[in-house]
Amino acid sequence: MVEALVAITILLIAVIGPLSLLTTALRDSVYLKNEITANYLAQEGLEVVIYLNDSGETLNPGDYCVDAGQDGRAALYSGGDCPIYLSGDIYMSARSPEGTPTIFSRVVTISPVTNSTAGDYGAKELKVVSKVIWKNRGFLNDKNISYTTYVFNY
Amino acid sequence: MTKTFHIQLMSLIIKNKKSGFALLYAILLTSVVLVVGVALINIITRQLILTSLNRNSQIAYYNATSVRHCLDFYDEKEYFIEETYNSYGDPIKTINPADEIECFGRPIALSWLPSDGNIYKATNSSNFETGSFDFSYAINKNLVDNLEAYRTSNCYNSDNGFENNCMSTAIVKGSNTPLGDTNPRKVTRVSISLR
Repeated sequence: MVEALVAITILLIAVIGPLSLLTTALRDSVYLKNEITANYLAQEGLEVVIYLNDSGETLNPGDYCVDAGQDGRAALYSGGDCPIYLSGDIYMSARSPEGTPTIFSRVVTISPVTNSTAGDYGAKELKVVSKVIWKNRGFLNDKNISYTTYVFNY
Repeated sequence: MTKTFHIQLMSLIIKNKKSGFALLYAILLTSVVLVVGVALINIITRQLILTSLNRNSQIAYYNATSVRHCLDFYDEKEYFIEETYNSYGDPIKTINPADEIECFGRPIALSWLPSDGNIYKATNSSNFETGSFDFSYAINKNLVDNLEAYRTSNCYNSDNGFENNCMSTAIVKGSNTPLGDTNPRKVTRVSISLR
């Protein structure tokens, strides 16, 4: 009887610790998967803006969703929260919602930077921030990740 | 009497031999769960470090790219070049080292190194909102003077070094930490522009 009590006590004390470790590990692994995905989505947002800038498109300040479709189109458009959809293994924008909604949304913010020298050349310097927000399940708060770059638009 | 006592003693020994297994199973089970838990935490910790490295790497890369975009702009607009005329009245291009350029809405001072023959090189190291950068920008006077060779193509194919064969080179190192930071998680990425 005493043995059983001792065993149960040890089990309770010693198993709860490792089990909580397991729970944390599993939760973190889900978080990591989401963060890695968000990393690449944020990177894609900036690369689309850099591509459009290098292509000679005029960029105007504002908040934009990014359409980085796989059929050659790459564009910015205005549209609220900018949810991301998953079609097969490809993440799509809300502009082409061919897949299922995901927990991710991405907004690219373009803001002007005061640069008189650029102005003298008829150009404008812009700050570009690509921000991805994702909603975690359970009690975890929503997370976000953002990358920033500067471009000269002319 | 003695025989009965022996039998009782033996049964007690046998009983004691069978006891203690619950404790043993409990310790074994706990050990297995603990080992699995610690192993998983170890893996997850490494994944967290790798993910943060990936994030820091991207920050460092875009810091370097931002500065390179700025240098590319001034290079393309020939900000460091002025057109004059030679003794025959023909227009020639010469290097006009400017003291500073404007990037990210702030002045960036240029420290021009003493001209090494035909190479004019400017450097700057500064902190940035998400880290720091360190660049070296060089113009080749030979190629600027020689309009025919101006903005030579495929200059990166030469074995004599970029600066000797390209009209201009911009080598920018971006970092996710401020200058002088000895953080072991510091990541540096390089962005190069050859023209």
